[in-house]
Amino acid sequence: MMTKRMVYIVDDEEAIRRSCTLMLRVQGYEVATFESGVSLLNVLKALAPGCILLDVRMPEMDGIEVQKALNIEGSLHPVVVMTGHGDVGTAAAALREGAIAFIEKPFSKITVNRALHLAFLKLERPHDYLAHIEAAACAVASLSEEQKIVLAKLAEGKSNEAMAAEMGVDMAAVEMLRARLLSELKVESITEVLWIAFAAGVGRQAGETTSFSRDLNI
Amino acid sequence: MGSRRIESAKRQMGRSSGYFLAAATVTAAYVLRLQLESLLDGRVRFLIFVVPVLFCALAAGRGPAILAAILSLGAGLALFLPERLGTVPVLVEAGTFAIVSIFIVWIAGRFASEKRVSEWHRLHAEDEAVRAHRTGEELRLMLEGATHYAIFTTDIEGRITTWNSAAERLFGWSEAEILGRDCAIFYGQERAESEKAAADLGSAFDSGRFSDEIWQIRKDGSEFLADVTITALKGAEGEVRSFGKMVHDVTDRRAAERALEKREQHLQSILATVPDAMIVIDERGIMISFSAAAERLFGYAEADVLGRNVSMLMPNPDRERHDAYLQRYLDTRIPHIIGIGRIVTGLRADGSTFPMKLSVGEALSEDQRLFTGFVQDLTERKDFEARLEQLKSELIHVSRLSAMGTMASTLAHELNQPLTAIASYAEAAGDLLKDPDEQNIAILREAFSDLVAQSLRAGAIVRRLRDFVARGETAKSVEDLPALINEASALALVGSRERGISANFHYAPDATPVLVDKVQIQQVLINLMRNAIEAMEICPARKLSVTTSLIDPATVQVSVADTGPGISPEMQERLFEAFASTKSNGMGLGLSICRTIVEAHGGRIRAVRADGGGTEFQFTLARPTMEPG
Repeated sequence: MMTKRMVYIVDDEEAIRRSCTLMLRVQGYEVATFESGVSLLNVLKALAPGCILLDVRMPEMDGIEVQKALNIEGSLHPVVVMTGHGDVGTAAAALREGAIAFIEKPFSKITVNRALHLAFLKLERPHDYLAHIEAAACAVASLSEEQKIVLAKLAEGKSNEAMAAEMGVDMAAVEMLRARLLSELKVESITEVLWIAFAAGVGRQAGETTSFSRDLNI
Repeated sequence: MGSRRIESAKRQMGRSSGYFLAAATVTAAYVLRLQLESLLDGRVRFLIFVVPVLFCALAAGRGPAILAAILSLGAGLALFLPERLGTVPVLVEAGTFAIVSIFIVWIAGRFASEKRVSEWHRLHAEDEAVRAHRTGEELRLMLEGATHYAIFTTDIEGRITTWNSAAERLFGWSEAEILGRDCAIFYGQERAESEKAAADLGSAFDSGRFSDEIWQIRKDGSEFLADVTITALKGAEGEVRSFGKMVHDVTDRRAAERALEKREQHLQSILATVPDAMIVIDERGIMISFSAAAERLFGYAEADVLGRNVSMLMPNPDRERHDAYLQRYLDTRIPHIIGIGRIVTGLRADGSTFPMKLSVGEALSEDQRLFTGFVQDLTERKDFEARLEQLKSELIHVSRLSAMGTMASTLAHELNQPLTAIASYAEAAGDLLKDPDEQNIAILREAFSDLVAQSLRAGAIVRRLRDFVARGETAKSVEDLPALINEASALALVGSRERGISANFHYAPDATPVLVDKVQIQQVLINLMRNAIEAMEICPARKLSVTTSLIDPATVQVSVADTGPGISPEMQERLFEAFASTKSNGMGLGLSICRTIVEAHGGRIRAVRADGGGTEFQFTLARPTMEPG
């Protein structure tokens, strides 16, 4: 391996900064922490390449605003957003603003590693990342109509019950559709399905370009 | 003699004057005989004394005559004194005089009694004549004075034989004009009318008396409604000789009666439209009036209740005691309800009861004491008040629930922070243990102490949430348990009937009141009932039972049982733990909040298997401690 991968943690809470730092360092990442978006943006120009692990719920400036500021600054640091449980709306907003992935608090080592893996893929091998996204988009395109509906509803943040009710099927059927969706898209979790979904433009208004393709075209 | 005379004079002048007369006449005869002695020379000495005896007998009766005879005998004997008193001729003369005197006295007695009898007869006859005359006069005056009653007689054919002045006034015919005419003239000229007149007489002839209200015609042709009475007047043998007719103009009376009737109807119509029910009873409690509103309110027709005791409109215990209430008032005159008005319970014909406001007034008429009760149905007003109360409590619960929702979401996010830290430390610790060198152990130690701190922080957040729900400090008050449950169930059972759920409530009468924070306990009840309703959604039997019972003198148990699928053994363990939910959209806070609330009240909550399957939640509440004495 070459030099250690750099992760910048932005969270207003010390316990999160400390614990995540320890967890990531133990796994070989280099970690720097910031207690707010402002303190990150202040030193942005001087930052070495790396990924940003960004909390969405922060006083002063929340994660979405920080993401927007990063876009404006032309930052090339891929962003992974940390959200609360079931906060798909916020996550979707962050992905639309160019975040690579989102993870729900609390998260396991595996989850954060998957997200960071994707982020570093984009940072280090952007063409592979694009290929990955295109493959995912193909996979999404080849989904059955029913599965596409499920995916769209997941992207809207609908619960299983709401989906079952809206689609007129029972809960078991929804569970099965979700499981099939995971295997078709070759991912481990619904969260990752959503990463792909947003990357592939599911749940997005027609005519909008994907943020990552825009980034890649730069 | 002198004193007797005075006595007699005092008692009876007439009688004493008779005896005085006897003495006087005898004295006079004695003096006269003395004067005649020179002529008679000792002969017929007694003869002259017959005159006073006879005179007394005739004039003064038997008593004075006897006195006169005795005095005369004595006087006669005195004339012979003293030389010839004992001689035979003297004795013969005195004896003859005595016999004659006795005869005279006897004759006088007979004469006097004959005279008295004839006198009595004479006086009696005079009396009779006077009385008969007076009665006749009085009768005539009465007939004449009966200004409103035309009274006349007819012969057997109906021809008028007598005519009083009232008849003259009433019919307009003078006595001279009418006598001898047929009384059918008052009925009219038509054939049918004269037949009716004849028929009425016939009725009187047959049954002795006939009475009816008939239109009669005056001399001037005008009509009036008359109360006509015809009496058959019978002779000694019982044969009908004539008829007496009495005719009374009732036109005015009829009009007055009709006016009264009209006023009565008017009054009735007013009472019928008064919204309050009105019931009039006498002093025995017997209903004598029952208004239309009362009929509607109680479900009885007036005819069904009149004459019955008003207590039939009350449930027990008033029903049994009402007569005693009345008697107490009549005895003591201390009103408990009269003029005061109270809210009492009424009993309808169908057996249902309702709250009512009763105002009672007392009326004294001539000889009767009446009580008039005005009844105002409070059902609607109560319903309205209850509804208002319910809305208020709904509002409290809803605002509380929504505050809880916001709070829960805030706290859930907040909870993620320590949990994230915990997860991260644990992941790091796991990795560090793969290579446990000195440095890593030191890091691990630090990590574990942070881990504990974060776990405790998470616990503190949960506690804050529970404290928020249970509010920490409780505002306890003494509450009626059934009322509290009814209010809570009104909210919890919204829409349950549509889901085919039947709710049953069994309240033990001694299991109330309780000392609780009403809103919190209602929240527990709402939570348990909503859970039960949700649990039964997929079951064929959907019966919710809420039961209260007294399990010891200080503790009441409330149970909420359903006929749902029951709770799995694994879940049973964690039932009351926070965030343990089997519901797909549940936070898992409901039962944990219930437990917090119940325990804050010093009670216990548990779930058991209900008798017919399903789940029964039981919780205990404290009764207020009774003050000594």
